[in-house]
Amino acid sequence: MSFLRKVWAIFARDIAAELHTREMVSAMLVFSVLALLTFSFALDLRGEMARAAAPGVLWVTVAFAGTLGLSRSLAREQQSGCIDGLLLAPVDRSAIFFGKALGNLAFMTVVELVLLPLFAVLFSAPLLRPGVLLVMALGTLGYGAVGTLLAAIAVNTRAREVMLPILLLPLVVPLLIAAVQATAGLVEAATLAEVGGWLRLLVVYDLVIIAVSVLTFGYVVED
Amino acid sequence: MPVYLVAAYGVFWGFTFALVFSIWARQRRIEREIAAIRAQTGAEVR
Amino acid sequence: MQENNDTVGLVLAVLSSAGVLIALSMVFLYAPREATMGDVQRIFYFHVASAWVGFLGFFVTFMAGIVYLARQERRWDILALSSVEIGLAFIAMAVVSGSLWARPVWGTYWTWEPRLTISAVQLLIYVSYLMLRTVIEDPQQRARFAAVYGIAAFVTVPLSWFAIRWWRSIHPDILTGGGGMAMTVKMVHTLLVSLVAFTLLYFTLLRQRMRLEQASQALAELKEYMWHTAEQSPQRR
Repeated sequence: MSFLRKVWAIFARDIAAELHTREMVSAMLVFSVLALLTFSFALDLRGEMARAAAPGVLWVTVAFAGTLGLSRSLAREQQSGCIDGLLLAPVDRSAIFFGKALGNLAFMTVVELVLLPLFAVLFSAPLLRPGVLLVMALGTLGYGAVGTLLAAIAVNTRAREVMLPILLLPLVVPLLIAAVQATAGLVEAATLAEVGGWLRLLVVYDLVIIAVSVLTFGYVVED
Repeated sequence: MPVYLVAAYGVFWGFTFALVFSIWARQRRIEREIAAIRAQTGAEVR
Repeated sequence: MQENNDTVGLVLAVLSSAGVLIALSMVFLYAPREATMGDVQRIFYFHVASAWVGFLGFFVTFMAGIVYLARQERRWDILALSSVEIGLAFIAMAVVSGSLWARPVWGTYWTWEPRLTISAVQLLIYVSYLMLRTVIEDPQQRARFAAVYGIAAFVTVPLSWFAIRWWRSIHPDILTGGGGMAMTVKMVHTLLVSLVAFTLLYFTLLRQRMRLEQASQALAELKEYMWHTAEQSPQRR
Protein backbone atom coordinates (compact mmCIF):
# COMPACT_ATOMS: atom_id res chain seq x y z
CA MET A 1 0.00 0.00 0.00
CA SER A 2 1.56 3.25 -1.07
CA PHE A 3 2.17 6.13 1.30
CA LEU A 4 -0.65 8.28 -0.07
CA ARG A 5 -3.10 5.43 0.08
CA LYS A 6 -2.22 4.83 3.73
CA VAL A 7 -2.74 8.51 4.50
CA TRP A 8 -6.05 8.45 2.68
CA ALA A 9 -7.12 5.28 4.47
CA ILE A 10 -6.56 6.81 7.90
CA PHE A 11 -8.15 10.10 6.88
CA ALA A 12 -11.19 8.46 5.33
CA ARG A 13 -11.70 6.24 8.34
CA ASP A 14 -11.75 9.23 10.70
CA ILE A 15 -14.17 11.14 8.46
CA ALA A 16 -16.42 8.13 8.16
CA ALA A 17 -16.44 7.57 11.90
CA GLU A 18 -17.32 11.19 12.48
CA LEU A 19 -20.02 11.26 9.81
CA HIS A 20 -21.55 8.29 11.54
CA THR A 21 -21.86 9.87 14.98
CA ARG A 22 -21.24 13.58 14.30
CA GLU A 23 -20.57 13.92 18.02
CA MET A 24 -17.17 15.59 17.81
CA VAL A 25 -17.96 18.34 15.34
CA SER A 26 -21.27 19.09 17.03
CA ALA A 27 -19.53 19.29 20.40
CA MET A 28 -16.94 21.66 18.93
CA LEU A 29 -19.68 23.82 17.39
CA VAL A 30 -21.82 23.99 20.48
CA PHE A 31 -18.76 24.78 22.57
CA SER A 32 -17.73 27.54 20.16
CA VAL A 33 -21.11 29.23 20.25
CA LEU A 34 -21.19 29.04 24.03
CA ALA A 35 -17.67 30.45 24.19
CA LEU A 36 -18.72 33.27 21.89
CA LEU A 37 -21.65 34.05 24.15
CA THR A 38 -19.51 33.91 27.27
CA PHE A 39 -16.94 36.28 25.78
CA SER A 40 -19.65 38.69 24.72
CA PHE A 41 -21.14 38.83 28.21
CA ALA A 42 -17.88 38.76 30.11
CA LEU A 43 -16.20 41.47 28.04
CA ASP A 44 -19.40 43.43 27.41
CA LEU A 45 -18.79 43.41 23.67
CA ARG A 46 -20.98 45.86 21.88
CA GLY A 47 -20.52 48.20 18.95
CA GLU A 48 -17.00 49.36 18.26
CA MET A 49 -15.50 47.22 21.00
CA ALA A 50 -17.11 44.16 19.43
CA ARG A 51 -15.48 44.80 16.08
CA ALA A 52 -12.09 45.39 17.67
CA ALA A 53 -12.36 42.26 19.78
CA ALA A 54 -13.67 40.03 16.99
CA PRO A 55 -10.34 38.66 15.70
CA GLY A 56 -9.09 37.82 19.17
CA VAL A 57 -12.32 36.22 20.34
CA LEU A 58 -12.53 34.29 17.08
CA TRP A 59 -9.06 32.81 17.39
CA VAL A 60 -9.32 31.99 21.08
CA THR A 61 -12.61 30.22 20.38
CA VAL A 62 -11.09 28.31 17.47
CA ALA A 63 -8.08 27.38 19.60
CA PHE A 64 -10.15 25.98 22.47
CA ALA A 65 -12.64 24.24 20.21
CA GLY A 66 -9.64 22.81 18.41
CA THR A 67 -8.25 21.25 21.58
CA LEU A 68 -11.60 19.51 22.09
CA GLY A 69 -11.49 17.98 18.65
CA LEU A 70 -7.80 17.07 18.83
CA SER A 71 -8.13 15.31 22.16
CA ARG A 72 -11.19 13.40 21.04
CA SER A 73 -9.65 12.36 17.76
CA LEU A 74 -6.48 10.97 19.35
CA ALA A 75 -8.34 9.39 22.25
CA ARG A 76 -10.50 7.55 19.74
CA GLU A 77 -7.35 6.25 18.14
CA GLN A 78 -6.07 4.96 21.45
CA GLN A 79 -9.32 3.27 22.35
CA SER A 80 -9.69 1.44 19.06
CA GLY A 81 -6.08 0.27 19.21
CA CYS A 82 -5.87 0.56 15.47
CA ILE A 83 -2.53 2.32 15.59
CA ASP A 84 -0.75 -0.85 16.68
CA GLY A 85 -1.95 -2.59 13.55
CA LEU A 86 -0.75 0.27 11.42
CA LEU A 87 2.75 0.41 12.86
CA LEU A 88 4.33 -2.05 10.47
CA ALA A 89 7.15 -0.06 8.92
CA PRO A 90 8.85 3.28 9.70
CA VAL A 91 7.24 4.92 6.67
CA ASP A 92 3.89 4.29 8.27
CA ARG A 93 4.61 6.68 11.15
CA SER A 94 4.46 9.82 9.02
CA ALA A 95 1.52 8.40 7.10
CA ILE A 96 -0.34 8.07 10.39
CA PHE A 97 0.60 11.62 11.26
CA PHE A 98 -0.61 13.05 7.96
CA GLY A 99 -3.77 10.97 8.03
CA LYS A 100 -4.68 12.05 11.58
CA ALA A 101 -3.62 15.66 11.02
CA LEU A 102 -5.67 15.97 7.83
CA GLY A 103 -8.67 14.58 9.66
CA ASN A 104 -8.23 17.07 12.49
CA LEU A 105 -7.80 19.88 9.98
CA ALA A 106 -11.02 18.85 8.26
CA PHE A 107 -12.98 18.93 11.51
CA MET A 108 -11.58 22.30 12.50
CA THR A 109 -12.33 23.69 9.04
CA VAL A 110 -15.95 22.56 9.22
CA VAL A 111 -16.34 24.30 12.56
CA GLU A 112 -14.67 27.46 11.24
CA LEU A 113 -16.91 27.54 8.17
CA VAL A 114 -19.88 27.77 10.51
CA LEU A 115 -18.22 30.17 12.94
CA LEU A 116 -16.99 32.78 10.48
CA PRO A 117 -20.40 33.90 9.20
CA LEU A 118 -21.74 33.77 12.74
CA PHE A 119 -18.95 36.01 13.99
CA ALA A 120 -19.31 38.32 11.02
CA VAL A 121 -22.95 38.87 11.88
CA LEU A 122 -22.65 39.09 15.67
CA PHE A 123 -19.60 41.34 15.71
CA SER A 124 -20.48 43.37 12.60
CA ALA A 125 -17.02 42.61 11.33
CA PRO A 126 -16.22 42.00 7.65
CA LEU A 127 -14.72 38.57 8.22
CA LEU A 128 -15.89 36.93 5.02
CA ARG A 129 -13.00 38.20 2.94
CA PRO A 130 -10.56 36.04 0.94
CA GLY A 131 -7.68 37.48 2.98
CA VAL A 132 -9.28 36.37 6.23
CA LEU A 133 -9.98 32.95 4.77
CA LEU A 134 -6.30 32.66 3.87
CA VAL A 135 -5.29 33.56 7.41
CA MET A 136 -7.77 31.04 8.81
CA ALA A 137 -6.34 28.35 6.55
CA LEU A 138 -2.72 29.07 7.45
CA GLY A 139 -3.48 29.30 11.14
CA THR A 140 -5.54 26.13 11.22
CA LEU A 141 -2.85 24.27 9.31
CA GLY A 142 -0.14 25.01 11.86
CA TYR A 143 -2.46 24.55 14.82
CA GLY A 144 -3.70 21.21 13.53
CA ALA A 145 -0.20 19.93 12.88
CA VAL A 146 1.33 20.73 16.27
CA GLY A 147 -1.98 19.86 17.91
CA THR A 148 -1.95 16.37 16.41
CA LEU A 149 1.58 15.77 17.65
CA LEU A 150 0.90 17.03 21.17
CA ALA A 151 -2.47 15.31 21.41
CA ALA A 152 -0.74 12.03 20.60
CA ILE A 153 1.55 12.72 23.57
CA ALA A 154 -1.24 13.91 25.85
CA VAL A 155 -3.52 10.89 25.47
CA ASN A 156 -0.65 8.65 26.54
CA THR A 157 -0.23 10.38 29.87
CA ARG A 158 -1.96 9.79 33.17
CA ALA A 159 -3.74 13.13 32.91
CA ARG A 160 -4.82 12.45 29.31
CA GLU A 161 -6.69 15.21 27.48
CA VAL A 162 -6.18 17.68 30.31
CA MET A 163 -2.52 17.92 29.31
CA LEU A 164 -3.23 19.02 25.74
CA PRO A 165 -4.02 22.71 26.37
CA ILE A 166 -1.10 22.89 28.80
CA LEU A 167 1.29 21.54 26.20
CA LEU A 168 -0.22 23.26 23.20
CA LEU A 169 -0.95 26.84 24.16
CA PRO A 170 2.60 28.03 24.90
CA LEU A 171 3.73 26.62 21.57
CA VAL A 172 1.09 28.39 19.46
CA VAL A 173 1.90 31.88 20.78
CA PRO A 174 3.49 33.02 17.49
CA LEU A 175 0.62 31.54 15.50
CA LEU A 176 -2.06 33.21 17.58
CA ILE A 177 -0.35 36.59 17.57
CA ALA A 178 0.21 36.50 13.81
CA ALA A 179 -3.27 35.21 13.01
CA VAL A 180 -5.06 37.73 15.21
CA GLN A 181 -2.98 40.65 13.98
CA ALA A 182 -3.43 39.69 10.34
CA THR A 183 -7.18 39.18 10.79
CA ALA A 184 -7.50 42.47 12.65
CA GLY A 185 -5.61 44.28 9.90
CA LEU A 186 -7.75 42.77 7.19
CA VAL A 187 -10.95 43.62 9.06
CA GLU A 188 -9.78 47.23 9.16
CA ALA A 189 -9.55 47.10 5.36
CA ALA A 190 -5.80 46.60 5.10
CA THR A 191 -4.49 45.01 1.91
CA LEU A 192 -2.83 41.60 1.84
CA ALA A 193 0.47 43.31 1.24
CA GLU A 194 0.10 45.30 4.42
CA VAL A 195 -0.38 42.22 6.57
CA GLY A 196 2.28 40.40 4.53
CA GLY A 197 4.70 40.28 7.44
CA TRP A 198 2.21 38.37 9.57
CA LEU A 199 1.36 36.03 6.69
CA ARG A 200 5.03 35.28 6.18
CA LEU A 201 5.39 34.51 9.88
CA LEU A 202 2.43 32.13 9.65
CA VAL A 203 3.94 30.36 6.66
CA VAL A 204 7.32 30.00 8.37
CA TYR A 205 5.64 28.75 11.55
CA ASP A 206 3.61 26.21 9.57
CA LEU A 207 6.64 24.91 7.69
CA VAL A 208 8.80 24.62 10.80
CA ILE A 209 6.14 23.04 12.97
CA ILE A 210 4.98 20.58 10.31
CA ALA A 211 8.58 19.51 9.74
CA VAL A 212 9.21 19.00 13.46
CA SER A 213 5.91 17.17 13.92
CA VAL A 214 6.54 14.80 11.02
CA LEU A 215 10.08 14.08 12.18
CA THR A 216 9.18 13.41 15.81
CA PHE A 217 5.74 11.82 15.53
CA GLY A 218 7.29 8.40 15.02
CA TYR A 219 8.95 8.60 18.43
CA VAL A 220 5.60 9.34 20.05
CA VAL A 221 3.64 6.40 18.65
CA GLU A 222 6.38 3.79 18.76
CA ASP A 223 6.08 1.12 21.41
CA MET B 1 14.15 53.47 44.18
CA PRO B 2 16.74 51.46 46.10
CA VAL B 3 13.97 49.22 47.45
CA TYR B 4 13.42 47.67 44.04
CA LEU B 5 17.12 47.33 43.40
CA VAL B 6 17.64 45.55 46.71
CA ALA B 7 14.55 43.41 46.15
CA ALA B 8 15.73 42.37 42.69
CA TYR B 9 19.16 41.36 43.93
CA GLY B 10 17.46 39.62 46.82
CA VAL B 11 15.58 37.62 44.20
CA PHE B 12 18.79 36.65 42.38
CA TRP B 13 20.47 35.49 45.58
CA GLY B 14 17.31 33.95 46.97
CA PHE B 15 16.50 31.84 43.93
CA THR B 16 20.11 30.78 43.46
CA PHE B 17 20.51 29.73 47.07
CA ALA B 18 17.12 28.03 47.08
CA LEU B 19 18.21 26.02 44.04
CA VAL B 20 21.61 25.16 45.52
CA PHE B 21 20.03 24.21 48.84
CA SER B 22 17.36 22.12 47.14
CA ILE B 23 19.95 20.15 45.20
CA TRP B 24 22.13 19.73 48.29
CA ALA B 25 19.21 18.61 50.47
CA ARG B 26 18.03 16.05 47.94
CA GLN B 27 21.57 14.75 47.51
CA ARG B 28 21.89 14.34 51.28
CA ARG B 29 18.61 12.46 51.50
CA ILE B 30 19.70 10.05 48.80
CA GLU B 31 23.08 9.47 50.41
CA ARG B 32 21.35 8.77 53.72
CA GLU B 33 19.03 6.25 52.09
CA ILE B 34 21.90 4.49 50.38
CA ALA B 35 23.82 4.34 53.65
CA ALA B 36 20.74 2.91 55.37
CA ILE B 37 20.35 0.22 52.76
CA ARG B 38 24.04 -0.60 52.93
CA ALA B 39 23.84 -0.95 56.70
CA GLN B 40 20.70 -3.07 56.46
CA THR B 41 21.86 -5.62 54.00
CA GLY B 42 25.55 -5.13 53.39
CA ALA B 43 24.58 -5.13 49.72
CA GLU B 44 27.02 -4.02 47.08
CA VAL B 45 26.20 -0.53 45.84
CA ARG B 46 26.60 -0.59 42.10
CA MET C 1 28.86 5.06 41.44
CA GLN C 2 30.14 8.59 41.78
CA GLU C 3 33.31 9.56 43.55
CA ASN C 4 32.69 11.93 46.41
CA ASN C 5 35.58 14.19 45.40
CA ASP C 6 34.37 15.92 42.28
CA THR C 7 37.29 18.05 41.12
CA VAL C 8 35.61 19.44 38.03
CA GLY C 9 32.57 20.40 40.09
CA LEU C 10 34.74 22.08 42.67
CA VAL C 11 36.68 24.04 40.08
CA LEU C 12 33.43 25.14 38.45
CA ALA C 13 32.01 26.19 41.81
CA VAL C 14 35.07 28.27 42.63
CA LEU C 15 35.15 29.86 39.18
CA SER C 16 31.49 30.74 39.19
CA SER C 17 31.59 32.13 42.74
CA ALA C 18 34.54 34.29 41.76
CA GLY C 19 32.78 35.30 38.56
CA VAL C 20 29.60 36.30 40.34
CA LEU C 21 31.52 38.29 42.95
CA ILE C 22 33.49 40.11 40.26
CA ALA C 23 30.32 40.82 38.30
CA LEU C 24 28.59 42.05 41.44
CA SER C 25 31.38 44.47 42.26
CA MET C 26 31.39 45.71 38.69
CA VAL C 27 27.64 46.27 38.81
CA PHE C 28 27.85 48.42 41.89
CA LEU C 29 31.31 49.97 41.68
CA TYR C 30 32.41 50.03 38.06
CA ALA C 31 29.25 50.61 36.06
CA PRO C 32 28.08 54.20 35.98
CA ARG C 33 24.78 55.52 37.25
CA GLU C 34 22.37 55.58 34.34
CA ALA C 35 21.18 58.97 33.14
CA THR C 36 17.42 58.57 33.09
CA MET C 37 16.66 55.70 35.43
CA GLY C 38 19.26 56.09 38.14
CA ASP C 39 20.50 53.26 40.30
CA VAL C 40 17.50 51.02 39.59
CA GLN C 41 18.98 50.41 36.18
CA ARG C 42 21.66 48.24 37.84
CA ILE C 43 19.09 45.45 37.90
CA PHE C 44 19.62 45.27 34.14
CA TYR C 45 22.90 43.32 34.25
CA PHE C 46 21.80 40.29 36.25
CA HIS C 47 18.33 40.49 34.71
CA VAL C 48 19.69 40.08 31.17
CA ALA C 49 22.21 37.48 32.38
CA SER C 50 19.42 35.36 33.93
CA ALA C 51 17.32 35.64 30.80
CA TRP C 52 20.33 34.50 28.79
CA VAL C 53 20.88 31.48 31.02
CA GLY C 54 17.18 30.68 30.83
CA PHE C 55 17.46 30.57 27.07
CA LEU C 56 20.75 28.67 27.16
CA GLY C 57 19.17 26.02 29.36
CA PHE C 58 16.36 25.66 26.88
CA PHE C 59 18.82 25.27 24.02
CA VAL C 60 20.74 22.58 25.91
CA THR C 61 17.48 20.71 26.58
CA PHE C 62 16.64 20.97 22.88
CA MET C 63 19.99 19.50 21.82
CA ALA C 64 19.89 16.84 24.53
CA GLY C 65 16.43 15.83 23.34
CA ILE C 66 17.64 15.37 19.78
CA VAL C 67 20.59 13.27 20.89
CA TYR C 68 18.39 11.21 23.20
CA LEU C 69 15.97 10.37 20.38
CA ALA C 70 18.91 9.41 18.19
CA ARG C 71 20.79 7.33 20.77
CA GLN C 72 18.25 6.33 23.43
CA GLU C 73 20.93 6.72 26.10
CA ARG C 74 19.61 7.72 29.51
CA ARG C 75 22.29 10.28 30.30
CA TRP C 76 20.97 12.64 27.61
CA ASP C 77 17.58 12.60 29.26
CA ILE C 78 19.27 13.36 32.58
CA LEU C 79 20.99 16.31 30.91
CA ALA C 80 17.69 17.55 29.46
CA LEU C 81 15.84 17.34 32.76
CA SER C 82 18.63 18.98 34.74
CA SER C 83 18.93 21.80 32.24
CA VAL C 84 15.19 22.47 32.46
CA GLU C 85 15.26 22.74 36.22
CA ILE C 86 18.23 25.11 36.27
CA GLY C 87 16.87 27.07 33.32
CA LEU C 88 13.51 27.40 35.03
CA ALA C 89 15.06 28.96 38.11
CA PHE C 90 16.95 31.49 36.00
CA ILE C 91 14.09 32.41 33.74
CA ALA C 92 11.95 32.92 36.85
CA MET C 93 14.66 35.26 38.16
CA ALA C 94 14.56 37.11 34.86
CA VAL C 95 10.80 37.55 34.96
CA VAL C 96 10.65 38.64 38.60
CA SER C 97 13.62 41.00 38.32
CA GLY C 98 12.16 42.42 35.12
CA SER C 99 8.93 43.07 36.94
CA LEU C 100 10.73 44.73 39.86
CA TRP C 101 12.61 46.91 37.38
CA ALA C 102 9.45 47.86 35.54
CA ARG C 103 7.68 49.14 38.64
CA PRO C 104 9.88 52.14 39.51
CA VAL C 105 10.71 52.93 35.88
CA TRP C 106 7.28 52.62 34.29
CA GLY C 107 4.97 52.63 37.28
CA THR C 108 3.55 49.19 36.60
CA TYR C 109 4.64 45.72 37.71
CA TRP C 110 3.99 44.22 34.32
CA THR C 111 4.57 45.47 30.82
CA TRP C 112 4.28 43.47 27.63
CA GLU C 113 7.78 44.49 26.72
CA PRO C 114 9.20 41.93 24.25
CA ARG C 115 12.09 40.61 26.38
CA LEU C 116 9.93 40.26 29.45
CA THR C 117 7.11 38.66 27.51
CA ILE C 118 9.32 36.11 25.77
CA SER C 119 10.83 35.22 29.16
CA ALA C 120 7.34 34.67 30.51
CA VAL C 121 6.50 32.42 27.56
CA GLN C 122 9.67 30.39 28.13
CA LEU C 123 8.82 30.14 31.82
CA LEU C 124 5.43 28.67 30.96
CA ILE C 125 6.96 26.22 28.50
CA TYR C 126 9.40 25.05 31.17
CA VAL C 127 6.53 24.50 33.56
CA SER C 128 4.56 22.57 30.95
CA TYR C 129 7.62 20.43 30.25
CA LEU C 130 8.01 19.54 33.90
CA MET C 131 4.29 18.85 34.25
CA LEU C 132 4.51 16.50 31.28
CA ARG C 133 7.29 14.53 32.95
CA THR C 134 5.18 14.24 36.10
CA VAL C 135 2.26 12.53 34.38
CA ILE C 136 4.16 9.79 32.57
CA GLU C 137 5.12 6.70 34.51
CA ASP C 138 7.25 4.65 32.18
CA PRO C 139 10.81 6.10 32.23
CA GLN C 140 11.56 5.44 28.57
CA GLN C 141 8.28 6.90 27.42
CA ARG C 142 8.81 9.87 29.71
CA ALA C 143 12.24 10.53 28.25
CA ARG C 144 10.97 10.15 24.70
CA PHE C 145 7.91 12.38 25.09
CA ALA C 146 9.87 15.00 26.99
CA ALA C 147 12.49 15.02 24.25
CA VAL C 148 9.84 15.51 21.56
CA TYR C 149 8.17 18.28 23.53
CA GLY C 150 11.47 20.00 24.25
CA ILE C 151 12.33 20.00 20.55
CA ALA C 152 8.92 21.23 19.37
CA ALA C 153 8.78 23.88 22.08
CA PHE C 154 12.25 25.24 21.42
CA VAL C 155 11.68 25.82 17.70
CA THR C 156 8.68 28.01 18.52
CA VAL C 157 10.70 30.32 20.77
CA PRO C 158 12.47 32.34 18.03
CA LEU C 159 9.15 32.59 16.21
CA SER C 160 7.45 33.81 19.38
CA TRP C 161 10.20 36.36 19.79
CA PHE C 162 9.60 37.88 16.36
CA ALA C 163 5.83 37.76 16.73
CA ILE C 164 5.94 39.49 20.10
CA ARG C 165 8.39 42.12 18.89
CA TRP C 166 6.32 43.03 15.86
CA TRP C 167 3.17 42.99 17.95
CA ARG C 168 4.68 45.42 20.43
CA SER C 169 6.05 47.68 17.70
CA ILE C 170 2.58 48.17 16.28
CA HIS C 171 1.05 48.79 19.66
CA PRO C 172 3.75 50.38 21.73
CA ASP C 173 2.83 50.95 25.33
CA ILE C 174 1.95 54.56 25.88
CA LEU C 175 3.55 54.10 29.28
CA THR C 176 6.83 52.47 28.34
CA GLY C 177 7.26 53.87 24.85
CA GLY C 178 10.68 53.13 23.40
CA GLY C 179 12.29 52.44 26.77
CA GLY C 180 15.40 54.51 26.45
CA MET C 181 18.54 53.43 28.21
CA ALA C 182 21.87 55.03 27.30
CA MET C 183 24.50 52.26 27.07
CA THR C 184 28.06 53.28 27.77
CA VAL C 185 31.21 51.21 27.30
CA LYS C 186 31.53 50.44 31.01
CA MET C 187 27.98 49.11 30.98
CA VAL C 188 28.84 46.80 28.11
CA HIS C 189 31.84 45.47 30.06
CA THR C 190 29.72 44.88 33.14
CA LEU C 191 27.07 43.12 31.09
CA LEU C 192 29.61 40.83 29.43
CA VAL C 193 31.17 39.89 32.76
CA SER C 194 27.70 39.20 34.18
CA LEU C 195 26.88 36.98 31.22
CA VAL C 196 30.09 34.98 31.65
CA ALA C 197 29.59 34.68 35.42
CA PHE C 198 26.02 33.44 35.05
CA THR C 199 27.02 30.99 32.33
CA LEU C 200 29.65 29.51 34.66
CA LEU C 201 27.03 29.37 37.39
CA TYR C 202 24.70 27.54 35.03
CA PHE C 203 27.27 24.87 34.26
CA THR C 204 28.16 24.48 37.93
CA LEU C 205 24.53 23.97 38.93
CA LEU C 206 23.86 21.80 35.89
CA ARG C 207 26.63 19.43 36.87
CA GLN C 208 25.37 19.20 40.45
CA ARG C 209 21.81 18.59 39.31
CA MET C 210 22.92 15.87 36.90
CA ARG C 211 24.89 14.11 39.62
CA LEU C 212 21.85 14.31 41.85
CA GLU C 213 19.69 12.74 39.15
CA GLN C 214 22.20 9.97 38.54
CA ALA C 215 22.31 9.22 42.26
CA SER C 216 18.53 9.28 42.44
CA GLN C 217 18.20 6.82 39.59
CA ALA C 218 20.92 4.60 41.01
CA LEU C 219 19.03 4.51 44.31
CA ALA C 220 15.78 3.62 42.54
CA GLU C 221 17.52 0.80 40.71
CA LEU C 222 19.08 -0.42 43.93
CA LYS C 223 15.69 -0.51 45.63
CA GLU C 224 14.20 -2.40 42.73
CA TYR C 225 17.04 -4.86 42.79
CA MET C 226 16.41 -5.46 46.46
CA TRP C 227 12.69 -5.91 45.95
CA HIS C 228 13.50 -8.43 43.29
CA THR C 229 15.92 -10.42 45.44
CA ALA C 230 13.60 -10.17 48.47
CA GLU C 231 10.83 -11.68 46.37
CA GLN C 232 13.04 -14.52 45.26
CA SER C 233 14.20 -15.47 48.75
CA PRO C 234 11.26 -14.84 51.09
CA GLN C 235 12.91 -16.42 54.09
CA ARG C 236 15.50 -13.68 54.20
CA ARG C 237 13.88 -11.37 56.76
